[in-house]
Amino acid sequence: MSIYIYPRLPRDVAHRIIAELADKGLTELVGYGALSHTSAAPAAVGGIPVPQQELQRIQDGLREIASRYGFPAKLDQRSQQILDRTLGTYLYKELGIVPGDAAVEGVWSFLTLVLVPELAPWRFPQRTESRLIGVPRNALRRLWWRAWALGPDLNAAPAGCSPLGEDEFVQIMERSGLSGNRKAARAARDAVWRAEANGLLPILRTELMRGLIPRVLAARSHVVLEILSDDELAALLDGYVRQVLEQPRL
Amino acid sequence: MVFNIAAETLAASVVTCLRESVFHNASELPDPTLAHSLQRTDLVGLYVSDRNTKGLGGPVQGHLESTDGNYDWVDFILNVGKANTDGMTGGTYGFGKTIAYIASRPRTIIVHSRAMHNGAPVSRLIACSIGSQFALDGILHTGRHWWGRNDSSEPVPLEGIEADTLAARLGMPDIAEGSLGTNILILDPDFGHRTIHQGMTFISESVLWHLWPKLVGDDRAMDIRTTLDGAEIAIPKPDSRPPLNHFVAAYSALKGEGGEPSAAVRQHEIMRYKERLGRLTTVPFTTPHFSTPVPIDDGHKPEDPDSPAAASPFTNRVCNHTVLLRSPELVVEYREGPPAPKEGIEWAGVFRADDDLDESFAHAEPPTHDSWQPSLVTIHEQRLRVVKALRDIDHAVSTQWGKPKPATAAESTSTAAVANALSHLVGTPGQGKGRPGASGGGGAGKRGPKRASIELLDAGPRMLGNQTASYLRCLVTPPKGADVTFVTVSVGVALDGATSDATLDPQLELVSAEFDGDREALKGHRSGFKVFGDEPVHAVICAKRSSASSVLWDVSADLESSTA
Repeated sequence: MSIYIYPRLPRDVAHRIIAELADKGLTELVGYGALSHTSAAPAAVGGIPVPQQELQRIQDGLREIASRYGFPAKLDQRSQQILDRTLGTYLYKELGIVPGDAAVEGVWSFLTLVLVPELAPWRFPQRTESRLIGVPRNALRRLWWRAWALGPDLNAAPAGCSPLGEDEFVQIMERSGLSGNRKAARAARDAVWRAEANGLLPILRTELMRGLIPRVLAARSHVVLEILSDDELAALLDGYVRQVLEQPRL
Repeated sequence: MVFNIAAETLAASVVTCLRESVFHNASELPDPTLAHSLQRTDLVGLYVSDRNTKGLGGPVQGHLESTDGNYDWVDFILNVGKANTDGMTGGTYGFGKTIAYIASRPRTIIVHSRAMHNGAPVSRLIACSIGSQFALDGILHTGRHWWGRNDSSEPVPLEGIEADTLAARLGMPDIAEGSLGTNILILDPDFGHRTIHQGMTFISESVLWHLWPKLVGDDRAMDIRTTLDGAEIAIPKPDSRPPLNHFVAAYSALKGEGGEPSAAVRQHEIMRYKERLGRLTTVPFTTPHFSTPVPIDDGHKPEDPDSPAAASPFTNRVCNHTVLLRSPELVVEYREGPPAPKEGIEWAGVFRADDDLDESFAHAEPPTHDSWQPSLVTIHEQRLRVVKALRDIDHAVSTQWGKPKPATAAESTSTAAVANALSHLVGTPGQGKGRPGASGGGGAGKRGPKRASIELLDAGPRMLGNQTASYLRCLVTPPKGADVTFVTVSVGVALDGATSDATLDPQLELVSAEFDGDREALKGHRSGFKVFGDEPVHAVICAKRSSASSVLWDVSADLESSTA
């Protein structure tokens, strides 16, 4: 697959588009989808600007996923989670974008507000600005990064385990100390899955994650997780998992 | 209007005519430059001509009064260097006529013009030269020479058929029967370290960059041709010279010919009180990718700073400029504004002064017509218009394209946050903005003198017997006249950034504070001690912890207890 650089939509333009589209219905928004915007251009240095037909393919792909999950019907919580995992996997596999570009606000503003302007308002009916503008919590950006850190296939899970849920993703992804460290993030996820596969958990799995992540973060202040071998890291994390599970509970 | 600029290597017959019939006494001049030029075997002439104009009319001698107020001939030929006082006409002979001489190595031109005079068309021809002052036979000369009729001591031109015949012999373009216009032959032009070809390329490119408003649109106000030895050097099309196409787009939008309106195009009315000074239109555009620059050889070499200037104002330069125009619609200036804040975005703007106020802006132009300088305007009211227009143009483009205001501390990643991220390693909290709940640094942020300050000195690990622990050393400075200062200390296990969690480490607990030789026991995750008097005090605070925790400290001082 080719690596492309994506157009970047300036924030003021993004704000303008949000204002212009604020009162549009979901199906009406589909008509506002476009492959380019006069104010959006890729980074001026290096890279292959994503071709129009590629953007067309991605727009089609995203819309196909949306229609598969019942667009424009309201999503229940469970479908939201499956949709998120599917979209994240798709974006990560199909965009051909590098992390450097994927960390740029304008890229996600462009994809969210220009390419598929109906998607984020469907997933987040409140249309909160942080979901539309390409900031880290952006509807699409967060999913790509989930797939980058914990994917590529976010629907995958070992036997006897279920894929991560929204709260578990958030536990990892909204801790910048962890989300940027794929090895540690995946090791934490795997430790939770190991505990799950070993049998009945005395607490909800999401609570295990909530107990584990602060311990991993605390460890980062004096343990360089990156240089531990996989086994050492797994052993360290299994120890933290035990601490959480053995913690006296009210 | 039709303009021709033709560079010709002069034929032998023309050179002979110049040597023998026109400048027969060139060798007698004290300045040998003209004679030298005439000796050149490859002598070049630059013919600049216009048609469908009115020619240089009026009397041919300065002391004669014109019947119709027309003094074009006298102004152009005799009053060299006199400032133009005409408003509204794009043509001002102030600088233009001098530049014709300056462009000639021997500072010599030949002017052939047909104009209406006393109700009939009349052809005239004269040669003029501006040299240095000199004294000859005890008489001071201004250095200005004219070659005209032999039978007059005044500088009067050849006229009628005599003028047209000589013009033809000199290779001047024909002025058709019934037509009016002017030919100027600039002798031995100086292209300024450019070859003749580069020089003509420079001219044709400059025509585009500076006259494009005249060349675009259906009703072209001006036709300009440039030729070199008879071969046309085409004036390039605006879209072949990015970013000029974007200025044209802004100009079309300003004229209401922009086609589909776009949200990106912004129109501004520049006002002063209730009077509209002009209109400004800006368009953003994306920097083209991988665009291959058109090879233009106008003598400019980007790698050589000493090479002649490029015709394009945008050689190796991003476009964030506003073109200034007034009634004649010749580009006065590409006025620089702020670059667009996002990389890959540029913008082009056009400001067009309203016709009613043309005079104000015309007066602001120096003889080179390449800027608006309010200081040149003598009429107060007019000057204020120019000042206001320029200020509002700058304001409009700065508001739209200038750098966004610096993000507030809450949004930015201040160095305090970085310091915090690193401080876990030694157990020292960072100070400054960006650190939630920061209390180090005492008085910062709160008003009034009655604040104690705390200076964090250092921190690190320590052993209390077999127990791992961390310490923090700080200087507590009570405010002047304070009796008691309460110091509050919190500890937690350092997580991300400035976040901490006191419950993660069961062993984590404050132990003691040592100051002034005293040792006060502390306990829990949050505790405090009292400092008496207003003398600064060194304090060492200690907390025990497990071997696998880093401590995040939070220390504050107040005149009232907050732990009670």
